[in-house]
Amino acid sequence: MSDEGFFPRMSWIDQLRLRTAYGASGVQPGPTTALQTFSAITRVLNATTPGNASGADTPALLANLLGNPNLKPETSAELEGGFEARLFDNRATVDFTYYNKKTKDALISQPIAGSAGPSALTVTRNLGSVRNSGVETMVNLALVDGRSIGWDVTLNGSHNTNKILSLGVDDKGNPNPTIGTGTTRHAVGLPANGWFFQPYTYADNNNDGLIDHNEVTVSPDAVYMGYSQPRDIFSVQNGIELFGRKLRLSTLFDYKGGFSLFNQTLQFYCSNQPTCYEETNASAPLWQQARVIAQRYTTTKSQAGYLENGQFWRWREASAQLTLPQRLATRLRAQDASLVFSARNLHLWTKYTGTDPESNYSTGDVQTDFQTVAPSSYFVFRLNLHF
Amino acid sequence: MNRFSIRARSAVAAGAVSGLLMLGAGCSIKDELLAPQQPGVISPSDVASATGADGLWAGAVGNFGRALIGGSSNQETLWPFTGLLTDEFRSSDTFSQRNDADQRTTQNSDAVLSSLYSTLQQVRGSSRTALIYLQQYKPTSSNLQQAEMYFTIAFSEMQLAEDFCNGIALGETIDGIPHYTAPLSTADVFAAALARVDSGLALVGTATDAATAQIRNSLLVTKGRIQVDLGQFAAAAATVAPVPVGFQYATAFSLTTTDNEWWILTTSSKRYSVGDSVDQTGIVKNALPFVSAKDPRVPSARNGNGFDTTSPFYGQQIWGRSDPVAIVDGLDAQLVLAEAKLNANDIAGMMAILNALRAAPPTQGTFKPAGTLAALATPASKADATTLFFREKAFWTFGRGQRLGDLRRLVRQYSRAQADVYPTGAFHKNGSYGSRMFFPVPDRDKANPQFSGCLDQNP
Repeated sequence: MSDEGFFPRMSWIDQLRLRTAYGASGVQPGPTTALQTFSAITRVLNATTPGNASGADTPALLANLLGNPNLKPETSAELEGGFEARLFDNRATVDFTYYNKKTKDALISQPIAGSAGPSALTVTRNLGSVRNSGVETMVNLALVDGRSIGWDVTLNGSHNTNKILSLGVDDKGNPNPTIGTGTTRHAVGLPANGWFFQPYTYADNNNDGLIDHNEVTVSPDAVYMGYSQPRDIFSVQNGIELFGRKLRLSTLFDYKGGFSLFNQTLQFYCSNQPTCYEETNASAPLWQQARVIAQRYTTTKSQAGYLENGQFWRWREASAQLTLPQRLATRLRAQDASLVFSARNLHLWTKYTGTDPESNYSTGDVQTDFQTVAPSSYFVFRLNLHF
Repeated sequence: MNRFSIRARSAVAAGAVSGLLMLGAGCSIKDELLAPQQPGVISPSDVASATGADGLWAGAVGNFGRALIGGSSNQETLWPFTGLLTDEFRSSDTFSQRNDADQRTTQNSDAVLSSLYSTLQQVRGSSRTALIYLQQYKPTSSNLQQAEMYFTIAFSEMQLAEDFCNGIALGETIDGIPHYTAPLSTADVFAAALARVDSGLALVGTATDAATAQIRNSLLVTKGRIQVDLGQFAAAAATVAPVPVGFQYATAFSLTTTDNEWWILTTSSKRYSVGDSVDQTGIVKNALPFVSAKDPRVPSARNGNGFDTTSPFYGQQIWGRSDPVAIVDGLDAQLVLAEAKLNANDIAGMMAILNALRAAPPTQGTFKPAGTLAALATPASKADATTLFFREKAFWTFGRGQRLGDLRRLVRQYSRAQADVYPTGAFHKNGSYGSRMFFPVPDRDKANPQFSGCLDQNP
């Protein structure tokens, strides 16, 4: 764009490129998801006298997958646009992208009611239409670019909006408003795998500084309570080079926000153990007292209090890289050599009360903090030799 | 990674290629490239034979037992779980679902309950599938197998109606397509189960060989129990009269494939402690003294604390890891006869049956109470006789999924207040007992658009 004649000349713009792209992709259903199948099993029974107490392992069959002969691929189409700019004598580069991706015929595992006596409790169907839209930005700044010293900063950020546009129709042809009845559900107009819990209210009516069992009221119906996936991701990398640029010091800070995380570790502990801090400590904040009562002492129970803001900043990495003298590299029969020290996961800033907002017990789509350790801090010394 | 919410940038590049394909060659290529594959699996045509029908029958019979009492690795099954809601068992576990069941506060969204409900409904489905294959591929040589399928369906429906609220749907899945139906009252579910029994009895005929007798007696006991559930006591007595005391239809277990769940939960992992009339909070109103009575029908022993490390644990000593458990038996028939006597105001007749059982305890599975039990005195009133009968039945049928239905019937048929029937007052883990008299049909069944929750909270 900046090379075109009509583009106004501005000394601080070295290059400006506009770009746009359109692409489509697909997701193939699993290899057996379309098929109605049976499975070979072993069951214990007496094949001669029914119900005889002396049964034996016997080969048997059970219906398995329900199958869906009408299954189609899930398809997505994405339009994106943005620009790349180099500014101030190439000391700054900016990359900005807006994207809008629409997925059709989304492959969704639809629950089947047990009362139909199905062999499987879900079936994969092309039910959904989902939109993901958002922006991604990257900024590189060479703040100091001298012969012997340098200072560069890289900012990276993205914001995503996820919305289910439709979920197909039920057996009677009526639109499905929601799929799922658990704590994460798909619901039209809301993000995929949105959190659903029964809200509750509490008040210290007698002003004794304690929440009593009758001072918490739980709603009977679950409502949407937020994204289960981070909407905002941001990172800041800072690098300083010293001593003829032989020594590079760098740090990386990560941010994630715009999502909620279920603190199942504490929820589980406080649902069972008499030593739960929130229950036994009279000086615990009222909101903490309320959430343990809501999940344990009310007739209609709710674990909503353990759904917490997952937002955090983490000092992800600090490192130092020293380029060793050439003569030392030569003595080691290498072309060059460097010594690196790095430390990972140094500090966390968060209001999340669980072990760590990056702890994950689940192997599925939704992160769950359940008795899993935080990302460990570790330190690495490394000698790089380039032959 | 969430396919919907996490945007993969690489999809753009891949998508661009795919987009060109679409533009250049049309959508059919894309569909062809991405069409589902068909690797080697057991398909419906593979089981379309008499052998396949036999395999499906074996699978249905096996899953029937697993749904009630068998499994592995702490897989929850229905009978233990119903025992928590009653006074039979006490949770010594950390699982909130088991604690909630014990506290009578099970939530509609309870994940464990959802699984139990679906599993028992799936027994109906697998039995129905086997029945269809037997009818088609063994039309002249499978009457007993077909009758057994009617038995497993009928028993499952009876168990559903005894344990869950009004609002149970009895749909079907045909060729992989679910067909939902409107939720029914428990009375309607009992009536449906009764019709299944009659279909089974019609297939059994009059032969007297051991296998035929087994299926016939299984159907008769199930029918008698359903008639009791419906308040048809005299008819129930007539139904079960031919069933010998020593009869039993059991589910068996195997160390290699199927553990007796009682052993896992009540012995190995110490999650279910035998219930008692006292706990850490004091006397538990309405709870029977299954531990402190030291009754030989329910032997138990203290074994430290439970899985939660804080609850006193009393392990049951009725069943070992691979001991069979009777699903229906002659003892059940005798108890139907005794209850019919009770409802006919023949207290002496009831006592004669109960004391005969005490004098010669029948074997259940492989368990036989040690020694004999002293004869009981005849109660002075029908109310006392009712209390005595249900106490006797509770000890005889301990852990076999009958107690919840009986407590419910004490409210429904004998007009007792739930506060005089179910465990009530301070709960041993926290707070107080709730008010559940039965389990709700779980929210998960709202995938059936005709179901929106229990029809009511009537027992």
